[in-house]
Amino acid sequence: MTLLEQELAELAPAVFTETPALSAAVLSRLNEAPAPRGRAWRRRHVVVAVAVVVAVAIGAVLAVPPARSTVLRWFGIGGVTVQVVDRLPSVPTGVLQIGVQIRLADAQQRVPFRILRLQRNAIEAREIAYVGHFAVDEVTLLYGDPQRPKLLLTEASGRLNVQFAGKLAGPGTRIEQLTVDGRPALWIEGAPHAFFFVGPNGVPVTGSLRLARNTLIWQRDGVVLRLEGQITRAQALRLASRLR
Amino acid sequence: MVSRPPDEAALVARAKRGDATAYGELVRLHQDIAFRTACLITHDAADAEDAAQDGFVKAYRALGRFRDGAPFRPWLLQIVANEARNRRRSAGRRAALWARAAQEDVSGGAAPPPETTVIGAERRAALLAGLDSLREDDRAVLGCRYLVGLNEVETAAALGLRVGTVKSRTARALGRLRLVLREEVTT
Repeated sequence: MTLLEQELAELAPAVFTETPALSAAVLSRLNEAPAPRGRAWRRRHVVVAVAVVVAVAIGAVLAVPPARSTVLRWFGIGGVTVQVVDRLPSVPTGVLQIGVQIRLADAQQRVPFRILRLQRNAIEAREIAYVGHFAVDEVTLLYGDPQRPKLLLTEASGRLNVQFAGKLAGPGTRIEQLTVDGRPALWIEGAPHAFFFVGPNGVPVTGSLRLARNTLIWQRDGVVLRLEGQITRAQALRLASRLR
Repeated sequence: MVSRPPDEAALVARAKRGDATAYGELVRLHQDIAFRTACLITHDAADAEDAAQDGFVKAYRALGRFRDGAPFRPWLLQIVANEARNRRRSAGRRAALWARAAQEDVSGGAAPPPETTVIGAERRAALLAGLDSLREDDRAVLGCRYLVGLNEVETAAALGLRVGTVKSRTARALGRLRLVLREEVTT
């Protein structure tokens, strides 16, 4: 091998990003049935999804009555509701439950809105799409390593006839109302808080929880967006302006 | 205790019988070259990941047609490369892979990974710029041969060429790259 050929071989680390771990994603797809992705499929699944959410909400009323008594105050923003409570429910740690990993193109087929992504130069991290955690029109983009994500960007349609998702906040959590693109937004920071569903009757569903960090919640073109990570408010607002 | 490297032929045989665990091991063995080969074609890491993933899934479903005893990598790379070509988008992305790497080199932002310290940043930037100035088919063959580390048979499979064409094209591309680098030095 000549010197030039050796030099070319040494370029690889400068050219290629780290190879993603593919085996888990590949294996999870091997048993998939051929999956139709047409409009009819999506309509059927939205109907089923709404039914599932309602059923879960009703179940939660019976299952976690203490949650009702702990609600102190509500902020409403689109399909997201933030509740401040006096005590957080226990949340399983170490497991990030944000749905099933999916190709971005397939995720786009499953939601009725155009998925917004951070511009490539906004963050140096791999982007992975997840769907299906809440069973309705929602996609989460994870930036970074799934074991140690840098950012989570969740986008949910507010058009469903249920209040879609919320956050449960403890007394150590600071909630600030602000605006993004001239629209109401919330900045939540401080103590950990947890996601949960809010059923059509406004009762929190604490069965579907995940830990969250500092979070910006805002609306854009009928889509509710949540940006979460170890970020400052200024960083979050800057990132929000770099979605395309 | 030293673990023996898995026997690829045995893994393929098990995978052909429907053993997904064995296929998962094959994916782990070959995901680097699959992803990097796809990167060379798509010039985009996200598209390359999708292409590699789809390629592995399609290869699994096509294992019944895989000839026993044949080398697995060229066969796999052919499928992955086809997926990558299907994803290749606008010409605006053509040089993104090389241009980005060259730009990062020049900007000197992050420290280069340890593997890159053998050649200096200036030389690396010149090589990347030189590659970027080549024709796409020259870049592809040099990328497969030297950056991904494929042999001639594997390169031929990935690029849909005959082995003889890979040989001649590699020699021609190296010559052009030398010319470009020399011109850069003299101007």
